[in-house]
Amino acid sequence: MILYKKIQLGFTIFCLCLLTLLFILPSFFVSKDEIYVRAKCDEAMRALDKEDYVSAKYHCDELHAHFHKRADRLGFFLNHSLVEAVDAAIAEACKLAEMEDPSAAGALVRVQHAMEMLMKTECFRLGNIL
Amino acid sequence: MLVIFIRAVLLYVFILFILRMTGKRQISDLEPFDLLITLTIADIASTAIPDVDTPLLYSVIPIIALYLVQQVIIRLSLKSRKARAILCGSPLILIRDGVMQENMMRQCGYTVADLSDHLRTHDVFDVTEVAYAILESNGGMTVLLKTEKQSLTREDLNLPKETVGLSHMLVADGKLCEHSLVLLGVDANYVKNRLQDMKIDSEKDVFFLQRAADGTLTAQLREKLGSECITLPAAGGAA
Repeated sequence: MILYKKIQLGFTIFCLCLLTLLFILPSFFVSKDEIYVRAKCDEAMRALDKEDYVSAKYHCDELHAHFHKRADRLGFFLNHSLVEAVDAAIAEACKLAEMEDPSAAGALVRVQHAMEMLMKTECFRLGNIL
Repeated sequence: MLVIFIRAVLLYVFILFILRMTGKRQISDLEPFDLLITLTIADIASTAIPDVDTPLLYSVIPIIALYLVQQVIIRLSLKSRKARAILCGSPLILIRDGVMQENMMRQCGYTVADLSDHLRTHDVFDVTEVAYAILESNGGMTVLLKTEKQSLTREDLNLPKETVGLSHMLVADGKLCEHSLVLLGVDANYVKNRLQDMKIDSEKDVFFLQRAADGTLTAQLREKLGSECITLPAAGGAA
């Protein structure tokens, strides 16, 4: 019985530590990735404004490669369909930039918006709680 | 993640409140918070298993949240009688000296038929035989019969006291039960010798061998050997 109590106490402490980690880590990772994605999207959009499609394609590809690596980690904390939506939007922007289509900017806005949505799901807001 | 945790805690409190409001009729053998955690964990797990689109953590966190709230509630109810009364409710006397307590019955939503059902499960067929019937906080019922209706005890008959002991399984399914041997302070040789007294070659031939509190040994042979039961009284000699 004493052993059981010790195991139970240990498990409770483990749960508390795990929860603390889970409260901190996902928001940390998501906000870090959001800053990167937003910056890359801005750079690509600036290039699109100047009709520099090569540079826009370069930024989009870089963003795609970065997000593709991060997707697995984000899927650990976030709804998989939301993460896949961001990935798909980045891929679309890449393709449009490659085709020298100015609507790539619209796809990049969708990427930023989807990333914002990911952030919001992790935010501690009354709307999310209710 | 914090959002999911808080949602789980809020839902726990809400469902606990609802369970308390529904009264004791809905609960059986479990305290309200025990029933609640059983129901919710089962539901969370069952929805999480097929939903591959949602991270497993979305189910793990609510379960941990429920576990932690449960621990807090258990500690609260152990420490404070008032908290226990709020969380689990208090026992209610439904029959006092053979008289059904209508107010109490109405309070917990018990009809005469429900109460009669419960009494019958306690082998009571006449309400007037009951001194007290108490509805416990877990929904179970305790019945105390009037003294004239209670069974006789050895004490009533002035019979000498007899020590009560447990019987132990020494061999189960052809294998020695080491734990029982340790408890009785005997070893494998003891079992072997007793089996020889019963004309049994090996414990492998025995389906079970039991030692009663008075030392009587009972062995049942395996089915292939005829499932015969052999008894060896404590003094010795097979029957």
